[in-house]
Amino acid sequence: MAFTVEQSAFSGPLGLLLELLEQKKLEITEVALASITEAYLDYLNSHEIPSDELADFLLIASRLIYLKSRALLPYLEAEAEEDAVSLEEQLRVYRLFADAADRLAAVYSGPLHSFRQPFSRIVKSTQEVQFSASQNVNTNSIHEAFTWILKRLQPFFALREVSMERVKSVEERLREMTSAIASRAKMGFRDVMAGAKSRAEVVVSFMALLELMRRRIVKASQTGDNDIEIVRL
Amino acid sequence: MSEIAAKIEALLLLSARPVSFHKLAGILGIKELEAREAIEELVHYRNVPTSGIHVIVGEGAVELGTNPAFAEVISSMTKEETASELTRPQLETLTIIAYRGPVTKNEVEYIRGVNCSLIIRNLLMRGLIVEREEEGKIESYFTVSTEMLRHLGIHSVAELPDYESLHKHAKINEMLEAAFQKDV
Repeated sequence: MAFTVEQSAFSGPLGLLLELLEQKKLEITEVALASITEAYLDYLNSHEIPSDELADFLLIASRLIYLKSRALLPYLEAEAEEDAVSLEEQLRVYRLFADAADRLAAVYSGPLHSFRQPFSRIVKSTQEVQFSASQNVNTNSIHEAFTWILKRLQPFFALREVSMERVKSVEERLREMTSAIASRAKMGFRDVMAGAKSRAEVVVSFMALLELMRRRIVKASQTGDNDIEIVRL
Repeated sequence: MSEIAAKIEALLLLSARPVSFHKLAGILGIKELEAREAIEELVHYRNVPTSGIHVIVGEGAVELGTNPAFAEVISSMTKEETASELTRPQLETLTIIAYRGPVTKNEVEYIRGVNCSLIIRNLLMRGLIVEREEEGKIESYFTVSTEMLRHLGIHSVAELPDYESLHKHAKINEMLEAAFQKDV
């Protein structure tokens, strides 16, 4: 192992990146990030990453590899899809807070502290421990609490409806395409797409086509004019 | 000091724990905005070197504490539990919530680049942060608690070092906006 990082020296994948850059005395730049890709991957290989954080560590790894590949093949840049926020930018912002955390730690363990009045005047009951619902639990408060939960869940319900619709339309599309192909021996995917109102509908149609192929109802092949020919089996 | 501010002070003394602006307004039969203004007045009156009692104002809640400057002499007679050490990930998460609060879990995770569910749960259980829920939103907002502020010996988050620049940092705002617009 080329380097060692104390478990306490960094926290999370961005912390690890900062630590690696610091060890090589590099500034936060794309080139520098690409250059530590290997060290980062070595670290992942040689250390046990907590399972709930593994996906995040791998995500950063993929972004590093992307940066590195772009450094090696600069002419591919135009076609590449950029992240909304570059890793470089994200790391800079992270560093602001990592530095602030150091300052906060100093205050946290510092001598200044404000104390509150303790609860000592409250006489504790010496009764036997038993379940007793607190006084504010009654039919009204339970009803209110549940209404509140439902209100907060509204966006979730909205989400469900949308995804249900989509599933239904794949089914529908499947039926439509099955009956369409039943009446003629073959058709083009372009005909299927013709009635589509949105990109999502085209995707749904395509998924329906894949399903028909999987069920061996049709066979599809690409034609010279960039269409897909669908033939009944 | 106005009568409302004095009444709030009395209520806070008796309660000996944080009381929400909403609750104070309810007890006093005034609007929440009026309660806020009276608390502001109480802050000006109390948070001076010559006062033994200071007012700690968090997001939507307020409590009384001793003047942080007297910590040494007070600690010789109180057994208030000393806060245990924070791990580095906990400290970072707490810092982000302190400077960026009210902030969602998603935003905290974006800044740290890693899942923070367990850490946030732990900070909540230790009473260092508080969670606020809103109607029609599944996501909750997190802020540091008045207990945390007391522990830091400050009266509000605005007293954190470099608070203004980190809280309103244009670059950070831009980044979070770009990151979360993509998902919408």
